[in-house]
Amino acid sequence: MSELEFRLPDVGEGLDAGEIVEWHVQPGSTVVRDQVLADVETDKAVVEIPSPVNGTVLRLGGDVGDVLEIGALLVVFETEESVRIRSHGSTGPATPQSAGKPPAVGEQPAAAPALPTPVAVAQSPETGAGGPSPDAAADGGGSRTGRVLASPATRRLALEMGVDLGAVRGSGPGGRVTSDDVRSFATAPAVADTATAESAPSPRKSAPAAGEPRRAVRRLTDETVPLRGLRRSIAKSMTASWREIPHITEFREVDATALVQARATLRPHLERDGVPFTFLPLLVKAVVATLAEHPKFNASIDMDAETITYHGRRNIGLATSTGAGLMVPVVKDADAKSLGELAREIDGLAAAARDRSVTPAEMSEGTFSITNFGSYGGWLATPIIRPSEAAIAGFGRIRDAVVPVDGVPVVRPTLPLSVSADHRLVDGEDLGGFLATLIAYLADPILLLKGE
Amino acid sequence: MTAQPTADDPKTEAELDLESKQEDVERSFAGPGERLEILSPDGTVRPGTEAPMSTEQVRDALRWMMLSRTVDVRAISLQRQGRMGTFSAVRGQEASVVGSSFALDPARDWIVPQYRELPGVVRHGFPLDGYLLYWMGNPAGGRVPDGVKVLPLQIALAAQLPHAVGLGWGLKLQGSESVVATYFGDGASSEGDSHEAMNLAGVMRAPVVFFLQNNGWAISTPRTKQTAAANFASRAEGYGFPGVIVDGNDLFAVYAAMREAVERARTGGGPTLIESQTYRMGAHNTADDPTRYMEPVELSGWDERDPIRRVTAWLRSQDAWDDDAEREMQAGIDRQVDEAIESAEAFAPPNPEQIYTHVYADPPERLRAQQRAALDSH
Repeated sequence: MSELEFRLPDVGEGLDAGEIVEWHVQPGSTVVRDQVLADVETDKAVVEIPSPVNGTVLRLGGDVGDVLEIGALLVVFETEESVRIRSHGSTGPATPQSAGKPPAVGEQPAAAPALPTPVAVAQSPETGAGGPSPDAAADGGGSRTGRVLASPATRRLALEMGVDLGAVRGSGPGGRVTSDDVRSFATAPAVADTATAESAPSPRKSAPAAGEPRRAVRRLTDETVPLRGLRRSIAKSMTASWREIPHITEFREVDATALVQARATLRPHLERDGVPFTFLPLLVKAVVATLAEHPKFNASIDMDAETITYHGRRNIGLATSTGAGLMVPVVKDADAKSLGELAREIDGLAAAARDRSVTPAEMSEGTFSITNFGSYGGWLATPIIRPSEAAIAGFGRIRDAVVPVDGVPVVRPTLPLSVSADHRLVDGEDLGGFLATLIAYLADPILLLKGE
Repeated sequence: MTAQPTADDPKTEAELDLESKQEDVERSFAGPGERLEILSPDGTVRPGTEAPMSTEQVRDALRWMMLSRTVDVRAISLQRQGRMGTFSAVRGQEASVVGSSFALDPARDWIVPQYRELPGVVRHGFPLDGYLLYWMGNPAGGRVPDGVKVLPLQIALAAQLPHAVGLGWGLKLQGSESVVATYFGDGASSEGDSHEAMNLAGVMRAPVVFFLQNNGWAISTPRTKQTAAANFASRAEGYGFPGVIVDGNDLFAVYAAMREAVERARTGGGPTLIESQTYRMGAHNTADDPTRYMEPVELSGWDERDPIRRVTAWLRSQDAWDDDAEREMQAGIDRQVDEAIESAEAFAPPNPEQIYTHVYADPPERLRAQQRAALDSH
């Protein structure tokens, strides 16, 4: 007699977990093969989980109401039988099997040939335990010696993000690494490394319960986590802004044909040393040129002192998504920099923000901000102003849209944008004027050459 | 709903609702006189008809039906233990599948299956362990042994029908006397491929029997929402060949109708559409929960028409069946199924490389590159 661990299988094609609705056996129960052990409710149905063997129940893996993840221990049997259950890596006492033996042919017809030979089937070497160890499957990962389970799309993502899949803890069934796992991993280490001024006690990714809700599993209880680090500083800053600043926001769409052409023309000249040439340097150029004509948007208001300060420098903050939260590194004196310089500086600052090596000095002294919600597919939004600044411009994704040209509908690449401004400093008419100028530069970037 | 509750008719709204649903179910099938029926639910042969099979043939057919039911139970249990990916049970449709396959000659006729014809394809030579292996997710199970005249199972609805017509037409061009039987369902009948295939088969007089198993459900879509027509068989007229309706839970009627259709095809008479009116007595597959859309009355009503019960009742009336015979047959089936499961589970798990090995003899570079990327360990 030996013990056999029976783990909760995926009974419904791609489930994460199941809730124990009822036990039909108890420790000590004698069970026969196919006898119902428990009713388990999944996202799809209540299903009966049968016994794989004849034997005696030693232990149960949970109580009624418990939610077990797929692969979690359900029942431990004492049995003389063995069974291989590959889907969750559990086996009984190892039994030598003639791996690759073609299935026996049914009774008829008399001359029916056998299934393909093992050669044609390209069998992988069969290990006695088959696949990951039960423990690895149960806790969803850990370091693995064999192949990492991941979809081709996830592998590609890992390749692109420079992530070693073997080091990622998989949250999917059987420890499968998901794209979310890769993204979390890619942003996680920096959180734990150098804590910047803004993010002192950051939650480590290796202990997700400390700072993040657990994902993927349907749970009946809420989970409260402390507000810490970057999330806390974002929360404070945004609350202050929303409470203090009366926002007005306007939305426009601009024909981006010339802008797209400008980027395409410049790209081969400016994309070098692995630094991409995106639209962002062009957008920064258009914004600083617009600010030259609308100084009210490059200003700060002080209600206590009852003063308005018009800034001499044009320092453009760039809202950057880091995985751990939003950070806003600042391109200083953007008006004095060439497109190539802007491209390199933006790339360097964004990388520094993402790996959390950006310094507090690099994130201060902003006078105006740009946010690029198009990077995650956004169309229009209502950007929130960074406190002490007067306005923020947000850009959506350039997409083909039907627009009237000389009374005829034509398809043009179209850039949506939103600008929010502090109504204490500017009025709607000012905002309209700012947008008109900005749109003129974006629609015809050659105007940027005329100088200020 | 025709009646409102009155003092004389104290039915509750729920009861009336249930009755109305029951009527809907009944209406979705042809009535007596419109379809071929031989073996009635109580196991007697209807007046004016006779059993088209010998007692020995019926016992053999019963064995395949019982084998099918046994595999259903075992496979669902295996799936619930994590030992099988998914499974589509035949339960309820055994007479439909077995009766039709008995009219085919495995030595020369072809079966072009969908995915719910286990006893038919296994009788035709597809290995039972291979069939199980297929549902365990191993591509080795999809390989049809050489010489077995069965095409691979088809999950994509109705995609097998053009294949069946091409196969039949080709056999006809070769001067063969072989017949192609292809299986599909009420849901698949709504796919464009069904129309294209049947139309071409009619034009070319291809030796194909279109065996439509109307089991009442396309997963959760009921028959009444599948077509506005009274039945599916009447479509055949539009394609220029005969269409017949049979009681699909009646082994004899299914066999008789299929035998006639096969004979027509074999002798140059072209295709036939058979609508086998049966019932899926359970879930679409192991990932489905039929209690969310089926009325309990439907399940219980069709339990009484269990195709297996009908056959055993008839055999008993011929003194050709008793409890001992049943125990003996079941024991043999259990052994056969045990062996098939053991054999299927002895196969090594599939290797990701196999995803790339069965479509192209000479894979294009695009696919090779994808394969290298996928198989790269990290």
